[in-house]
Amino acid sequence: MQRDRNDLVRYTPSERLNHWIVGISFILLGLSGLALFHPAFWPFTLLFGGGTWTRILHPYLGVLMAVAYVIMLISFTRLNLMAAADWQWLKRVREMVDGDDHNMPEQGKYNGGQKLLFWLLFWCMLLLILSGVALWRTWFNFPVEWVRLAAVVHSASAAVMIGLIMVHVYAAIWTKGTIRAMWYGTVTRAWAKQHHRGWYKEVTKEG
Amino acid sequence: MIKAAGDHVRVRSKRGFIVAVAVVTKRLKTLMIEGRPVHTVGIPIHWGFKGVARNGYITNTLTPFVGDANTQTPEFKAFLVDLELLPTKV
Amino acid sequence: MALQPLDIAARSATTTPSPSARQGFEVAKLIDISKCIGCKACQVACMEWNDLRDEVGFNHGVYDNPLDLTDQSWTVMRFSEVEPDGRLEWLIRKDGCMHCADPGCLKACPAPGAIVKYGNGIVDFNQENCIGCGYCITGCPFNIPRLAAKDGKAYKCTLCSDRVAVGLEPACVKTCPTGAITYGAKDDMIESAAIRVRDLNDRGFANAGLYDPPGVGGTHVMYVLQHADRPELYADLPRDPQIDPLVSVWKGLAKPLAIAAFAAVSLAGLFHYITKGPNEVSKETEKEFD
Repeated sequence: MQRDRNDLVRYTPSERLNHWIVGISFILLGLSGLALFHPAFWPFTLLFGGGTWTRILHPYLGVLMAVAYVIMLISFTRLNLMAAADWQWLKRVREMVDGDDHNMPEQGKYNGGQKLLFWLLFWCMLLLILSGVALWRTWFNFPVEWVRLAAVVHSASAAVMIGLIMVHVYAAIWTKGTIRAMWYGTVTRAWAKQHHRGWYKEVTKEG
Repeated sequence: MIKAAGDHVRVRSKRGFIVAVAVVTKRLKTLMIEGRPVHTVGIPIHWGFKGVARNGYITNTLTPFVGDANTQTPEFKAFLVDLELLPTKV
Repeated sequence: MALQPLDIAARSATTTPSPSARQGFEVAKLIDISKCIGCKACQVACMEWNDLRDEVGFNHGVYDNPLDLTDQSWTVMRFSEVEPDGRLEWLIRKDGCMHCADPGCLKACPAPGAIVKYGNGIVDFNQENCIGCGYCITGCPFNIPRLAAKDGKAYKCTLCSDRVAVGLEPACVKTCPTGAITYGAKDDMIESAAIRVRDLNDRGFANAGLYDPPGVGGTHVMYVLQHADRPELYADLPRDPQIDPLVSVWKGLAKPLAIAAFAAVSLAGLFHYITKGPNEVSKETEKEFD
């Protein structure tokens, strides 16, 4: 079923690998970060070999995620630039959420919601990386006033990003036939025609 | 020549010179003697090239070979010196 | 070091009460700056009692040595030559942990039990639980804790909690040759400070006073200052120290807010799925490709 010749390729193997590196490092960062943020999550430190290891590993995982994320930015920024149709889509997002995407404006590879998520995540990542560097006492020594601000920015951006990723994961589960795009790289023609008609037209004309 | 805390200075007397770190203080006021300003410089006597902490010049290089003939007490405590600012700083 | 005789009033990253049945009294160390001669016997006593040795440094042209607190120097003398009223004064302050009643270090620390405040007011680090993140430095209004390069843990003055636990006074108190450092019940220290302040008033220090900053709930290390109206003269002693509002938000409101947000998003997702069902590709569209 996954190798159906009629299926369309949505993601190449390197795109998928990159996405999962970003995703897995995000989860590890989220778990270690939550352990350091809130005492209720302190038991997550057991996953990393204790509190000290959690503190040591968290910023290095951050570097890994940042590098992989930059690669993702290079690959996908152009596809996520907002156009008029995307703002239209967002105005009518209520219909989409209700499960009726038949009358939504024609979407390219990414719909307005996905593009919005892309940019929200971009700002979260930028703030996380900058504030993360300021907090990394092993290598840097910034004035304490900056470190205090960085602590608030880092926690707030992380909390927002965790929420956004929850939405991202939910959307992938909710829209059936989506997850396989990031596992195996392909989607059915029907999926493409219904959810991303513009992209479907582009890809099938070429292919 | 302005001296700031931590500057290196060469302290020279008629007998020789040492190099020392300047500790600048307002607590020792400049004396005016016959209309000329005379500053006071203090140097710990127990310093030298061997020790537990850092090595340094021996203060006794500067002291005069003068003593009291009756008591054999040496007059090491007070003598004239000249100061010269060096380009290094701690 | 935590010893059983000292009950715990507050514990880092812990939301439930710690053992605190015993009702002792709060202690305080009073440092009378007007009596300090800058001899550094207290620095030596602290090193001797705690077996600390800092690096042999350099002379930076000031009497301060070492120039700053380190993981091996838990107290340092800070020398300031100032002229507050046109008269030259040499103010010498013993710097170190102030043992705040509302400790910023404890509030910021993410590791449960790494920082404790005993019932007697002493704020102590349990390095066994410390993860070396340095949040304590971020939280401290006085910039006191220091991370050790060797073991990655944070260190600071313990107010000799080990000596106090067996009824002794801190090492610095015992050794001070002028009696500038005294120790006892905080109430008693406040009283003796008041007597000294009146004495200083008589000697011409009209603005002498006790430094026991309310912004951190009061401290268990207090100063008698000749110029209590200008604490910044004493090597930048903060005038009105308090835990930075950013730290209070970070370790206060941000926590329940984030949890509420996560719960809300998760529940919203759950409700959405069970009310709307999955978003399937419609049968007509599928049929087009069969």
